[in-house]
Amino acid sequence: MIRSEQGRLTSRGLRSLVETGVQTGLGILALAPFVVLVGLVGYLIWVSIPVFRYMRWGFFSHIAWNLGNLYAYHPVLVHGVRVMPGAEFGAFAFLLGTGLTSLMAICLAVPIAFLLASAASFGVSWPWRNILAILVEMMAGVPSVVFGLFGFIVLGPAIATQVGPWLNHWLSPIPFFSGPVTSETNLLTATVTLTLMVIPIVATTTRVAMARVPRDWVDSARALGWTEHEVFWHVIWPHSRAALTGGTILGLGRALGETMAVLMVSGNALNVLPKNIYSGVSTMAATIAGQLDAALTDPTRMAVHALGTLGLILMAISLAVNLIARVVVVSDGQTDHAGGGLAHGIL
Amino acid sequence: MLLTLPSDRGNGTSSPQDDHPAVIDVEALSLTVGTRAVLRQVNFWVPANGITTVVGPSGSGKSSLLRILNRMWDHVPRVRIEGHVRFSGQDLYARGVDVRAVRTHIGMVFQRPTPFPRSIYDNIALTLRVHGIRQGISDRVESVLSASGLWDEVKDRLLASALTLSGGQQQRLSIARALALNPAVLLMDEPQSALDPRSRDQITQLMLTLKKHTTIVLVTHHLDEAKRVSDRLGVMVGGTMEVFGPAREIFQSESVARLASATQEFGQ
Ligand SMILES: Nc1ncnc2c1ncn2[C@@H]1O[C@H](COP(=O)(O)OP(=O)(O)OP(=O)(O)O)[C@@H](O)[C@H]1O
Ligand SMILES: [Mg+2]
Repeated sequence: MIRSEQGRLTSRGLRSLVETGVQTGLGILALAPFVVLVGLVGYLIWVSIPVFRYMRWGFFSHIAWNLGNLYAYHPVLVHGVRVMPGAEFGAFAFLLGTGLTSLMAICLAVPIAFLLASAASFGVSWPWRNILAILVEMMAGVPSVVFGLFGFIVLGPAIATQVGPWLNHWLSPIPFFSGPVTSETNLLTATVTLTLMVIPIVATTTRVAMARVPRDWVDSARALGWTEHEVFWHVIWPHSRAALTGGTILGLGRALGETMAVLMVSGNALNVLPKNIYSGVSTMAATIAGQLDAALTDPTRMAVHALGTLGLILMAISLAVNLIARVVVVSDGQTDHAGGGLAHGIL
Repeated sequence: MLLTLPSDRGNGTSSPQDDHPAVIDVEALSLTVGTRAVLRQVNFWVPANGITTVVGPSGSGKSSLLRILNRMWDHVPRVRIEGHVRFSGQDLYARGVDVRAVRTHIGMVFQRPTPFPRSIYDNIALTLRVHGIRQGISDRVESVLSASGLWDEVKDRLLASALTLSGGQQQRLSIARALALNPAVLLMDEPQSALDPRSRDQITQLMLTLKKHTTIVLVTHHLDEAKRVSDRLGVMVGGTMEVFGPAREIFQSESVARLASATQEFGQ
């Protein structure tokens, strides 16, 4: 009797021990994202301090990115930091490159993605809508290096020989669109390549929201004698608007951070600002990847630190975009349940 | 061809079995979706200004039958419909029939309330505006909200979101919205089953009021409900109309025993 009581006690004790162990383990695991994020940001900030001591705010406004005279006998001491003589690290061209390529890609991608999503959920007839949906989803899974390759081999030449001259011919009164097309890898190629990568993200997010509009809502609108068009604008669209916003911001996040494809098709212009859409550019992400080897030859490590600072800025922008997305989607979601909730889930 | 409505709504084709004129007349109707026979050789008709109720086990095809009557199957791929469906003597599935007109004359209310995420007022006003109606919208809003017994509850907050209404109120708003186009027939697919008992009762009362000048085709799971409101009753089992006739007779006759046993499975 007593023994059996004890036995039960022991097994309960064991069980509670296991439970405590599991809970502690899960608690530690739950801390991991926090630790990683704080560690990452902390490291990037620490790396950036000497860069800002050297460049001050000029880091944001300078155009030149120059490792300095790496063959100099001694590093020099400027503002208390050791750098190679003549080194300058300005992020302005990369900030502009990232901003231009991403925003232009979003502007091109969102209308196309919206049309694709609408077609896949309402426009074309079965079975085409399923086929379209699957194709768009597959597009989202293509590795970015493949997009880069496509951009380099197919889009670049097409833009240099056909699209560019055509645009220049018709849009040349607009300064940013006029100029000789001299290269295959430029702002326009990077933008179009990014557009192809952003479209499936925006389209899929929007399509899923459109498909999730409760059937009863669609049916009751139809039952009121509304045409498919009217059902779309008055029922489907209000329900999926927030998802389009959310998808756009997800797409923007992808475009801002995209490295490989941009590195392959942007022309990687250093020390210059793009004069027009046919000029080479470089983005923050592409510069970090593309300049790392060179930066490692800087004995003062300053160049590596400067790339880390680019990383910090890129991360801050991405986080800010994400936060804005949440605010936008949540406030939209208050008036609109299905789409808002969905986009919320995705973000 | 636009669907036209006789000036006197009750003046459709007469069905031989009864002296009431039929507003809707369904003859040898079969519905196949893909390879699946959903409805088989269904015959049934709906007299003017009354409640015709269809009961039956889950999956027996009640909703499918209702959706035939306002051509909702038009939006489903691989559907084959055979037989005749007449509304006021005109074949609903004849070539050239304007679906929009069909749905203006034959409204529908669903199981779940379906308020659009807009204001209470806009739910009805938009319905009218989509049909090109610009004049007298606010009068119409008031009259259909009154007709659905909602006016007193919402007259002070017409511009509030329809989603702030309770479930029962949302359902009455859905009914009001369907009434906005002044349909001759209202199809109601289990309009009460998602609601609390009090709201259910309000909808029942509402149906009894509406049936004075509107023809109602009701699908329900509740035999009590059916008994209270029905003028004619049909029992569907496995895609066929097993019994169809005056509700009182069916409830009195022996087939009620069969009905009850059949309904055991589809009671809530
Ligand atoms: N869109 C559709 N595509 C294919 N089959 C369908 C479709 N809609 C309904 N069905 C089939 O038709 C049959 C009848 O369905 P229906 O919804 O009409 O039944 P019901 O009597 O209304 O049932 P419940 O009481 O559960 O609402 C079911 O077997 C269902 O699977
Ligand atoms: Mg049903």
